[in-house]
Amino acid sequence: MSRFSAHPYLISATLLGLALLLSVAVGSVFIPPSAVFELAGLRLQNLAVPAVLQPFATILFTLRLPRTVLMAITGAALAGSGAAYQGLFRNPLADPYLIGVASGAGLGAILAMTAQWPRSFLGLLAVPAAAFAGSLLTVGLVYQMARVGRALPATNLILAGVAISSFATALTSFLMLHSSGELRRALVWLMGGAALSGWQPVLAVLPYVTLGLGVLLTMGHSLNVMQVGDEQAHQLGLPVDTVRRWIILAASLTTAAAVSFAGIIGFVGLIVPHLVRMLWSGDYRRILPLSMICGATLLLVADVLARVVMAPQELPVGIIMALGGAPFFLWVMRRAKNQNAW
Amino acid sequence: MLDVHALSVAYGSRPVLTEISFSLPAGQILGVIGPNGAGKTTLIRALSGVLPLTGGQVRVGGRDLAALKPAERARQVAVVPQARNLPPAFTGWELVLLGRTAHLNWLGQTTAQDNECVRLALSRARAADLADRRVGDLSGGEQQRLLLARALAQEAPLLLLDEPTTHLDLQYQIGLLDEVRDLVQTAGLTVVVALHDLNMVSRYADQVALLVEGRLRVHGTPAEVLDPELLCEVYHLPLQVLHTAASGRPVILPAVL
Repeated sequence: MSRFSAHPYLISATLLGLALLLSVAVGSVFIPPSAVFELAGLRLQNLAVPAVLQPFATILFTLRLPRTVLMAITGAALAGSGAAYQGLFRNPLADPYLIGVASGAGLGAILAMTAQWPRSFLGLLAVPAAAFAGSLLTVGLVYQMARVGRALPATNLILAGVAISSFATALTSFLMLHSSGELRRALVWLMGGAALSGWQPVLAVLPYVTLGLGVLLTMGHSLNVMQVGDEQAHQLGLPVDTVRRWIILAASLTTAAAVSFAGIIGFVGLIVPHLVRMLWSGDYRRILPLSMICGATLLLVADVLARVVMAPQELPVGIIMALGGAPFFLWVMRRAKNQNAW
Repeated sequence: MLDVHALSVAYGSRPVLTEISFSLPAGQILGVIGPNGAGKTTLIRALSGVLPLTGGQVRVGGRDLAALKPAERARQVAVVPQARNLPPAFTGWELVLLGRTAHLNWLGQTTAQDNECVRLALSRARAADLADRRVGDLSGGEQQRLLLARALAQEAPLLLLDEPTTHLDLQYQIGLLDEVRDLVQTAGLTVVVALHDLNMVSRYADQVALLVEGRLRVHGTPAEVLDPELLCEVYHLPLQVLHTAASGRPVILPAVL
């Protein structure tokens, strides 16, 4: 334990590097790491790619790399906002998926998608904006439904999340059936498959996620203070209501952006902060950045699995995450019941 | 230092504190006593600025507490709550660092000065050995020492303690309150402490406030307030007050029938 826990940033960054390499190398065509490095070197020096490497170059730069970057951003976004929600609600089971925020964002996104705006850059902006509105509405609703006075019991949070999430999902399904057009594309998207490809979604998602995660990274100390409860946080000088609003806005923006472009992917925001807390620290100043790094790593690995388990067919990564995540969730639940140790 | 004028608090329509007024000069310890439900904890909460007042005013160092921003208020008043529901995964150091909240910039960055302040607070509260321990693994007394350190790290001139010795064994009760008294003498703090134990009040307080049903019944020196007839009436129990201690501070015992 002690050696592994000694250098959290070094270890998590190394794992992320390996996952990035794996993600650009593995797929229907295997690109050997040596070729990846060579191509990267050539591209950085602006040199011409030799003919023998040309097919690899096309796959790497137009397919694998944008998808890898999108997955890494999505993983960081989901795990970062998951950590923030857990800290905010003082509840280890708060995850953008479980508390319904992701489904709310999904409903918003589908609404914008079926509105049949032209798929111009403006259309790309409308989807995350609608997803953001959907996620804010959901988190507000779940919080109001679940709270008892000032407390937010775990069971209430999850039950309200599940109920409102089911409601949003039903509306989403209805809208998808109702709109004749791009049903399959939307379905794949909804299950967490990167239906969009190329660099356009990466560029569209980046500003939102950067802004949201940037704000969250400044909230580490405030989240620490909130762990002692609202009253003590007030007494320690934290403007609790202001801080809470900022965290909800930033975490919901981040979730919404991730959902808009990568679909609904559950459990990343649950598993990653939990592991970080278990392995390294209960200090949110470290939990937040480490969750972002490890979230990117986990989603990249899940995405690689999604590409290989039924090759040549590809699974939506959301399915992989749910297959691995649901058992993990049950384990967390058992563990939380047996020992009060999160 | 602390001026309380006509302080009233209600939970809903039920009055909990009614028209409480008193003053406490700097460098003194005020012990707040009264039977359960008299409003001791509510008074501490009201003095810490987290409760909306239905009437009256609390002034600390001449400034109206209600008019201060949270961070300004926390630099004037620090609270030692009862140790309950602390985040178990925190280390002692991380818990005490929370006391620096009102001194950090908007990014929440800690400076060398903050670290030095936490180190000093830990050693003053005799909790230096708890810095690297997990809060969840500590005893109630150890957690209480960390909460004292956290309040000291706030560097506020007024310190409020809400029944800090509940759940502590006698030697830890004495240890904690000895420490508070030393801090009053060395660091010039002003202290309001709610206590169950009348003998602890007798031993440590310079002034005593006796609350009964949300009203300030008597406010004075321990010798004035710890009067057998008054205590018998308030606590509905025959009590004996002995004046045998060399310190001149009275000792209170349930009367032997």
